[in-house]
Amino acid sequence: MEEVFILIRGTLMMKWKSTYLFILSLGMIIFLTACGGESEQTGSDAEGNNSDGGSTGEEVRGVTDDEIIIGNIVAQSGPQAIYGQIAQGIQTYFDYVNENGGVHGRQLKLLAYDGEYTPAVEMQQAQRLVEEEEVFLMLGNDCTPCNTATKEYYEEQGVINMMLGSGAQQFYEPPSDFFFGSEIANYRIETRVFYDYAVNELDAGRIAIVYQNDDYGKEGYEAVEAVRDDYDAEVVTEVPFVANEEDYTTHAQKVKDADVDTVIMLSTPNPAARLKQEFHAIGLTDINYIVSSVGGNDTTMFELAGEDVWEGTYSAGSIPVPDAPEAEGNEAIETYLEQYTEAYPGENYSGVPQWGYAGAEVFVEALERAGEDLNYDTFREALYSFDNWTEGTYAGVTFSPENHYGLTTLFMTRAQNGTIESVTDLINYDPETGEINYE
Amino acid sequence: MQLKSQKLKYIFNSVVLLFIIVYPFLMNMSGYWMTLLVMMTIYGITAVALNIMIGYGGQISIGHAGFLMIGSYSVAIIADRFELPFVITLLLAGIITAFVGLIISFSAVRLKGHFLAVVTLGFGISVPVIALNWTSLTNGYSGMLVTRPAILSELSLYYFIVGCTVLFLWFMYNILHSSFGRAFISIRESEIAAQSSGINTTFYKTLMFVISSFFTGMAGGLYAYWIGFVGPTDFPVTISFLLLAMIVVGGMHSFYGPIFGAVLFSIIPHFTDEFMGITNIVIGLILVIIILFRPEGLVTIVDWFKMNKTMEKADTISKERGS
Amino acid sequence: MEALLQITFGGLIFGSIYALAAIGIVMIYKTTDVVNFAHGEMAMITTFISFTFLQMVGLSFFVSFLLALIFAAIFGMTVYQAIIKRVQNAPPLNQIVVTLGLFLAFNGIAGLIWGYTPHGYPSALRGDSFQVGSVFMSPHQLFILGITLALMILFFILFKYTKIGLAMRATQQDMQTSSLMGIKVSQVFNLTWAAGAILGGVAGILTAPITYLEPSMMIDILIMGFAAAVFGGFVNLPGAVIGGLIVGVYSNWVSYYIGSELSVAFVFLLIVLVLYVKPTGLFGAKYVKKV
Repeated sequence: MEEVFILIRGTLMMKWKSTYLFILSLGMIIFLTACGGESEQTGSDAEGNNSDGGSTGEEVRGVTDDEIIIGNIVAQSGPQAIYGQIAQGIQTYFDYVNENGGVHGRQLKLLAYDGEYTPAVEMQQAQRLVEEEEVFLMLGNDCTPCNTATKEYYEEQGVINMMLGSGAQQFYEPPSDFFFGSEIANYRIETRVFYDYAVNELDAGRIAIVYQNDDYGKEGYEAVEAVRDDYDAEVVTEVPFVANEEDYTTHAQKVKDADVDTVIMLSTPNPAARLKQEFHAIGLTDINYIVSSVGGNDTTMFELAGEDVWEGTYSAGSIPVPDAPEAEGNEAIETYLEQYTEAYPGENYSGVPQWGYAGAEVFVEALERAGEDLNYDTFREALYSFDNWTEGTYAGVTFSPENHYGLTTLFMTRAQNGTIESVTDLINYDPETGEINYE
Repeated sequence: MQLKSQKLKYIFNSVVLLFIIVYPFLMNMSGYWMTLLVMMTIYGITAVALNIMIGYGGQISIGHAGFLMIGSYSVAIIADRFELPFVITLLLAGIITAFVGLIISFSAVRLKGHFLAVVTLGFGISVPVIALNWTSLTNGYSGMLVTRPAILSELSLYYFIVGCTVLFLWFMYNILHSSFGRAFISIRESEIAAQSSGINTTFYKTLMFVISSFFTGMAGGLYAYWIGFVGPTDFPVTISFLLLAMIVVGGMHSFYGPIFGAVLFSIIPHFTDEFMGITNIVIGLILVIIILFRPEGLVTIVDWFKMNKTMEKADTISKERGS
Repeated sequence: MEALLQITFGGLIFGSIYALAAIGIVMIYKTTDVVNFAHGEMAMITTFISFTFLQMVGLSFFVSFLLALIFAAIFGMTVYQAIIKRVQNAPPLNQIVVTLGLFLAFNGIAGLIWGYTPHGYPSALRGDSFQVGSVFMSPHQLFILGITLALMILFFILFKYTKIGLAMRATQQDMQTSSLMGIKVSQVFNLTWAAGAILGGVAGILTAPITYLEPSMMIDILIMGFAAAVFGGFVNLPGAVIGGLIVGVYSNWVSYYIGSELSVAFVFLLIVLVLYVKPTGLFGAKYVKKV
């Protein structure tokens, strides 16, 4: 007990100098908190004027006569550093546009900062880009939880985020004035298409859903939960996993135990390849394997899992991979391949870098349409004029005041002959009615 | 002489404090710069709290990011479910974290060196995993939004956090300069000697854990209020590593050393982020270089300025003793 | 029962990799008193080097394997000579932070050079898996088991019956006396770092076909390797191997019967329990504190 007394005495017997310091700081804080509240109010008033992106047409944040500054935050270090390729994709297209004279005489300047896939860091970078660098808008930010954390901030500051590297529902439904489009197909839409395709085209009866236990995998999982009763099939097992697990033998075993004919795998590339390898290792080779576009629509998957193992895997895409037969003669894809392999020789060019590049295409097209008098009003109007725009690498981009998804067109793909070929025509999803239409 | 250096210290402290107070106005109310300073204070508190264990008590922990996370989640969950004054919420976050620290310490006080390191490392790794899976409490991967107390504007929250930082540091300073601090140090120097001179080592080691986790938890709570969001990816194990680095690079045998470290490592990314992918390389190399050339930490640079005076003082003292 | 056997076998495979990582850590610690947090990243860089030989230069698997191990040996010695040597007498925490700094720097440098796209890495033994009883095994899995076993025996013999091994053991016991007895202590340290880096490199090359080659591939393996080392008492080589196997199998059981997301937490829970009962690990020496 003696120790406790010493503790109390020790904290009470402070030296007078530290008391002085303490009281001084406390006084200062109370004083400043009181007047700080007021000055903050005036501050937010000024902010309020700004927040419509300068609709007066005079001064638009991040836009001058010869330059537009655009911000981007993706993980450039740590386990998710692969998303740094989004920034590379954007930069590639911006360089290409700048070489050809920019947009309405303005050059595009990208400021890409490392978000480390951590909400606090992305928040810090968001504040830096918005308040210090004063960007026009944010393009292609990754990391769903980071975007959740910063969403309110962007809305308060009045900064548009477009072509997010996240297909989570919350950014598009209900439509927000500051969120437009995703770089990758909306997770819910995609998984519904998978389920529909598996049951109607592949005659699936017993289905296993293996999903990454995060915002990304769970979105798709919930989409299936919502519609599973509408189909004549059974989801017999659900296997969650965490993205950075090393060993997938137990997951494969669980699926094998359930005796299924179709597996829907909602994951990033590594686990998708690993799980299929484990299936092969325990003799589970005659099942349909459907992988979300994030994890499957990438030719490097053949290298990861092995050609024979990956063969036959279904996935979906909203951009054709450069090696696919349907990409042949597609001018936009050919330009991409040329530009990207020149800028980043020897690096992987299918998958993630395509997202950034395609997102940048949509952005530049919107700038073109917005005209010389660029501000948020004209920019939004320009976006709303997108009605199944197909000139970029995306299969189709549509915006309307009710539809902020952007990507509602996708197609099913199958891994065959060492590349990823489309096996369906375009599939359209109507956000207003919730219907899936095959063309 | 004594008086003069004390005076200098207070002038220095007051200047720093004044600077922090006018800082938002200097920076034109920029949210980015305020966040940068707030992150410094949060890591500063945590590093000093961790240093109670490491620098003073000689007990290693590679899992303090876990305590930060518990503190931040505590605030998020309490603010979400109960309508308590936010100061009480913050205090509760500290108490909850301290309680977890107490439980950990039951196993940890028996361990030494690398065994303690790995147990705390395991703790640091497990907390995010639990946060991810205990969906009913933590909302899983989606994380939780933290509503800021309505009465606080951004600026007043900033001052609140700065005030808390001063308060916490002041508390820790006093604890370390009481007989507790001396007991901690005697445990660090030799556990057996401490025991034989009548110090209840188990009690003090437990106490170190509890005090350290209490302040770390409150720092986590401040983080939650400032960022307005907590999620399971907030405090990965690399943050625990960085905290260790802050202490060692700043100087673990000084109360102020860890604060230097926290400031340094919070500011480096500001300069390196423009270049893709080099932040970690720069941090890593700076770590190695500082430890190779300043093994006692950056704080020794400050000492170096004082050296002449101290030498004089030591000289006079030894002369007096000698005569 | 079939499932249990299958996942236990899978656990043994990963357990072997953890064991390889663990014995590298333990060996370096025993001889030079440094806990090397950069061990995994050094292994990762070695694996990338072997991949470069394999893919860019187009050498055969075994030639690249050997060249990469030679690189690992030089790499390990360089790290020791250039950096670790200078902190060898510094407080343990300084050593830990230096190796953490190397960890960050190596990880970032690998990302700059080779990028973050994962690469598939070929296995030495290709081929379809086959069935033994009810358990499916692939040639690569057997390769991992075989190599781990062979290396264990090799290092056992090296330690027990060769001059170098004797010098290493003597240095572990008492550095000063050893150097008085004519053992070139700095050479022993060099050799230990070389051998540690080689062990790490082997672990990396064996892991890459399973987890794929990317800069962060060894982070989780290293953490489990530490867990394995602590299980075995941290100073005991056979203990580290057994610790690795226990961790591998146990985490697979948790993963299958409870949930894969929680397996890490359960591994550390087990460690806490074991250390509570036996504070120096399963095979650790009895702790005697020098006054």
